[in-house]
Amino acid sequence: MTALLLAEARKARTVRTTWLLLGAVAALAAIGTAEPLVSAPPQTVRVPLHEQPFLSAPGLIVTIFALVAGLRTVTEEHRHGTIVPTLLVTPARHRVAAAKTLAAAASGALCALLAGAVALVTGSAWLASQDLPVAVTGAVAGWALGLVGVGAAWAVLGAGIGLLVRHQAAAMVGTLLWVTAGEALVGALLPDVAPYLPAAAGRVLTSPWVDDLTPAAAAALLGAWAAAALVAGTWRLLRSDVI
Amino acid sequence: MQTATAAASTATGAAHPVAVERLTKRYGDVTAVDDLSFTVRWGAVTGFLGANGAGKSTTLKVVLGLAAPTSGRATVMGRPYHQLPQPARSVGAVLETGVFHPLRSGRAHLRVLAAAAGIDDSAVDAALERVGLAAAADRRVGGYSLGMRQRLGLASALLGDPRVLVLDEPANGLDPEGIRWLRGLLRDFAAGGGAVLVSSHQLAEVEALADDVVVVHRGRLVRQAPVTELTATAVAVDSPAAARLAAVLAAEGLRVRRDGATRLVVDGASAARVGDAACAAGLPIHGLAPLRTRLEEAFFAMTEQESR
Repeated sequence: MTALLLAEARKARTVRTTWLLLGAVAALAAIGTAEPLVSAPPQTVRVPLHEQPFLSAPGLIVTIFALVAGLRTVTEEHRHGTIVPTLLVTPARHRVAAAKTLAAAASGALCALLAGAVALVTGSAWLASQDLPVAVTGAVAGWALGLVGVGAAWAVLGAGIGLLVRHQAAAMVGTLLWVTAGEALVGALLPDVAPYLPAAAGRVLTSPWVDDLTPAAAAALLGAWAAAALVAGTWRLLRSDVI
Repeated sequence: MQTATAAASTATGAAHPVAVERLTKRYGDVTAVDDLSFTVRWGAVTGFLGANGAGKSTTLKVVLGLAAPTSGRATVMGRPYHQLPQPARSVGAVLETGVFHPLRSGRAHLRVLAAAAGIDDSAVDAALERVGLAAAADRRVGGYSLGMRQRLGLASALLGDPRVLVLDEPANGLDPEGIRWLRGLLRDFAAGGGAVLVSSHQLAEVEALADDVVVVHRGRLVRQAPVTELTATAVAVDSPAAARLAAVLAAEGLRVRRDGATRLVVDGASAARVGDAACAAGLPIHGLAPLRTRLEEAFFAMTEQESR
């Protein structure tokens, strides 16, 4: 498995798109953090760090970019045909699926770490410049942990969908439509179901004031969504021909 | 060659490098491969011939574990591909051109495969040198010509120093010099005891390269035979005493066919032998010409017969 993970790391590292996406994560996290700080009335930012509105900024960024990272882990291989040499070298497909899952989780966690770090640094610097207190507490660490977990889970969910759908454009468009609009629409039509949808569960973990579910329940729920996608995708990889 | 073949067989056991047994592959109502059986032998290049849609690529995908057979089986060195303990060290394969990430360099592509296969990175440079791509190794594959992609594919196949090569149209995009290089590479590989299964549309190239051929048509086996058998030599001889000359040659154990009142075709004989026999018998000869069936002629004769 170590060999396969090294191969996955090399795949990611040797393509410029990976670095462009990470740069976009950092830039959007900085902009998403700065915008509410600059535009907010002064009294709304006179709160402890873990209650700062800007901490919600990385949530959606991490959700989208981790999802894209997970999708790319698999669909890039199908798009360019490199799934063929991948499976020739490692015909045990369950091992390929496992390696891609771990690689996706790592890439999602990396997105989250980067976005979280940029948000904290940007926000803390701004608060300090306004002579406002900056105290990194356990609550902030919990938020960061939740963000990393959400990043890993969305990336695994993306890898599962990628294994299932294979076609990169279809997978990207479909999942991004779901995250940006589809889930809100379903939530509006079925309000009782809304808290149990994946993006809603993720928001519980990345936005301190969203409490539709307990963090543990939200983590379990998001993990279950990711696991379901992964099982379905792996089932397809194990059963289908690679054309 | 014989020694190398024997050594290879001993080293790898009695199993055929590639064996396809009663293989059938259907996609819905379409039967891509139909009860196909053939084997590849050590120390030989086996050409896999067939028209587009004959089932060659599907067969190779089943051999390499990328597609599951509907029935029958395909083995590599006695095992289904997915059961090989270290596939990259047993089999090198090139299935199609363009299976590279265009933004990755040639060297990075090989380093990815080397990492997955547990092969040292030093093998990457050696493979690039071997296929003549060292100078372009750090360029993005998207900028490679078709021929360079073929060479990179071959470098991927050779990376693990395998015993068996399975190649789908490896000469596509190669210039004449590249084709000659490829021929030498594959001949050397087989001469070293390895086995090569190569599908190709370039019949003249296969004739120059292969020891054996497997001909498929509409998914079914038409013929498996040594190339020399399909391209057997013959001699056409014109003589006003054709009947008597035929008797003389037949008495020498040669297979003689009448091709007109004064013309004979003698299979498996050289012009010198036919001329000497006629001279010894005191029979006149007005014409003597060696004949050779090209693989292309044999291929079309076989597949057209199957089409009827």
